[in-house]
Amino acid sequence: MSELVDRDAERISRAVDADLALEESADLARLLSADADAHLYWRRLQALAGLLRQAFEEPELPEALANRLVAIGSPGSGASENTKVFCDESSARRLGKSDERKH
Amino acid sequence: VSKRIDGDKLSCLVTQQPDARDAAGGGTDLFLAVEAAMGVSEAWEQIVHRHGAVVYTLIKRWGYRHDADDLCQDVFLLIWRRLAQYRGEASLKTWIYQITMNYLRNHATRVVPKRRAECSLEDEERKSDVLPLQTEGDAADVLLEAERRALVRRAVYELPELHREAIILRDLEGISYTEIAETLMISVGTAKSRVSRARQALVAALAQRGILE
Repeated sequence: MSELVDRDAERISRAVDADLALEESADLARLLSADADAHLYWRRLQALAGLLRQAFEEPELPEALANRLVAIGSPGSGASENTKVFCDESSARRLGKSDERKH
Repeated sequence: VSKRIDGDKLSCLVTQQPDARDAAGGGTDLFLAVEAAMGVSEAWEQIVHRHGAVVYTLIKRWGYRHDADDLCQDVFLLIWRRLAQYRGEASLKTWIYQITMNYLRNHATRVVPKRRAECSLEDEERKSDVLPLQTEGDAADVLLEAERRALVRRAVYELPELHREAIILRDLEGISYTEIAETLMISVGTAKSRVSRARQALVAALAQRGILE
């Protein structure tokens, strides 16, 4: 593993990213058959994706927290008072510029 | 929209430019941001609805498993306060990622370093991902599996920050290299090589622990 050069590691990494099968890349197949370290790394990277998926849950936003976040933007919240200063001219100007770019 | 902020310059712009609204009928990122900054609570609600879970998940995956609620609220306060600075150059999602990542980086320097990686095995055993048990054999398997997951998480938390964020953004959040580059304000090439090096480091760490053969 330690012998694997960065360039090859990155090629393998990109191939795993693209879910590339060995048959789809003669270059990659050559590299993996010629270099045992590269082949081991290829197998490990493929296993890594599965391990990460299992290890990290995808939590839902708790409802109570969602309510707290929504409250930040409610009129009368301390946070909203801080933002009133930029409500008018600059915001409209930004929108105007954005629209000009679209046309 | 014009009803909600009637009389304002923005309402005129929005009314005159219906094409600027997206096909789903919601606001574009820039419209949403501007409306929210102007105090349109529905716009802010939409931002929370669209991006709240992403921020919350990112914080938990970064390793703040127990105080994620408070940190998420802090991040959304920052987002709220900085809405006026959003120019629509990147997507709102990328902009929110930027704010979140910067917040997490800064937060890491403020808390006791060990506290962040608070994923102890004892915690893991209490976690809800331990499934109902049928037999003693099942119990052993389930505990081993929970331990393995915990070790994988710990290996991620213990990566150097640049590597950890690369793994989280690419392999857990699944965002593109272009978006990673925008979020971290680096080139796409740097994003690619950073992800590759992060994977190398993580693979080495997991192999050392016997989790990867």
